[in-house]
Amino acid sequence: MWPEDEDERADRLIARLREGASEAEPMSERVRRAADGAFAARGVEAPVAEVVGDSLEPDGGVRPSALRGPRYVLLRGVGVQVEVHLEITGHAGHRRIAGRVVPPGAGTVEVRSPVGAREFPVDEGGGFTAASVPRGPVRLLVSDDEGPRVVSSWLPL
Amino acid sequence: MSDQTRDVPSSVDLVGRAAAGEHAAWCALIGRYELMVDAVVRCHGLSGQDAEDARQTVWCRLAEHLDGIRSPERIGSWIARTAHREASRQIRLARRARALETGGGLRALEPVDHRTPESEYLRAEEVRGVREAIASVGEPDRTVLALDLHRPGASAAEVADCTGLPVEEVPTVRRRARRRLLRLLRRAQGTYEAGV
Repeated sequence: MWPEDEDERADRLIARLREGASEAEPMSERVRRAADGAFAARGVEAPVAEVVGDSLEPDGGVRPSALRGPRYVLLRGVGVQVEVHLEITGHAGHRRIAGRVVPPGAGTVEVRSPVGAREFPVDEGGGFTAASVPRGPVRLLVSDDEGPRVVSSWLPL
Repeated sequence: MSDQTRDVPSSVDLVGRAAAGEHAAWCALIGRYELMVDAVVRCHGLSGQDAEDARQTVWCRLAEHLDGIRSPERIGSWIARTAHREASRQIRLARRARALETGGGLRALEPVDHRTPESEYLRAEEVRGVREAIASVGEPDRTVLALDLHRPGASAAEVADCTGLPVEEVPTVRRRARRRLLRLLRRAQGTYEAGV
């Protein structure tokens, strides 16, 4: 058993830390709208592409990026042969995503935030560029002439 | 939950109804856990837009996984783990953004410099120590500590719901987690003892 004064010290520590700590607050209107948007937009009829590599993560499956270099993300379809390679740059509110869909094929990529979506063309070689993407979570819906190919899980930018 | 009446829907019920598309159940579900999520995000040291982005991503993940949640009775601890993970990710995102904006380095999230008065510096160092200590312990202790510090009004039933602990074990685990934090801070910085 621990000596009793150990518990008293721990309690005093918590009491002191609480004095300087901020208390949890309800979410802002912005977060509430995003939560509702994510709820409304769930159930996309397309195979999911999971993040299998992210240079942001210490153990991310791809080489970690230099702190000021681009972030590289690899998405891979679950049960479908599609990969999407992303190179993410930019800061101060907006990001730029340069991507390549493999196997290649012309079509579109829809970049969805919880509160809106924008569509960008995918060229014959599978390449696309999405500019002015807002910070926060996004998901990508890649489509061709025949319909949706994959939708990514949410990826915070 | 011992302090819930029959009028309060269970989280299992809410998950099922939200998965079926009922918006009111979704709102009730995020209303039940939003303060815990904020407490977790705060204990990682996030604030402002970084905290908001991390909170958004937690709800996006919940919406995405509603249909696939295998143990809806443990949804509280699932959300807590997701919140810890997304908060850590957001710290890395914020560090990158800060480095790009300022040309700063790895300590860009700790904007303490030589002009800071010593008391503030010590305070900032302690806050950082607490953050690192909590991040280094596993569940359920880290969520218990996040609630202990940033949601002091949480009932034992709420702590149990957010951690998957039986409600009767909450006081014991809270005592253990507090002692762990004390020991980790002592180890990290011998001078904390003086202030404790």
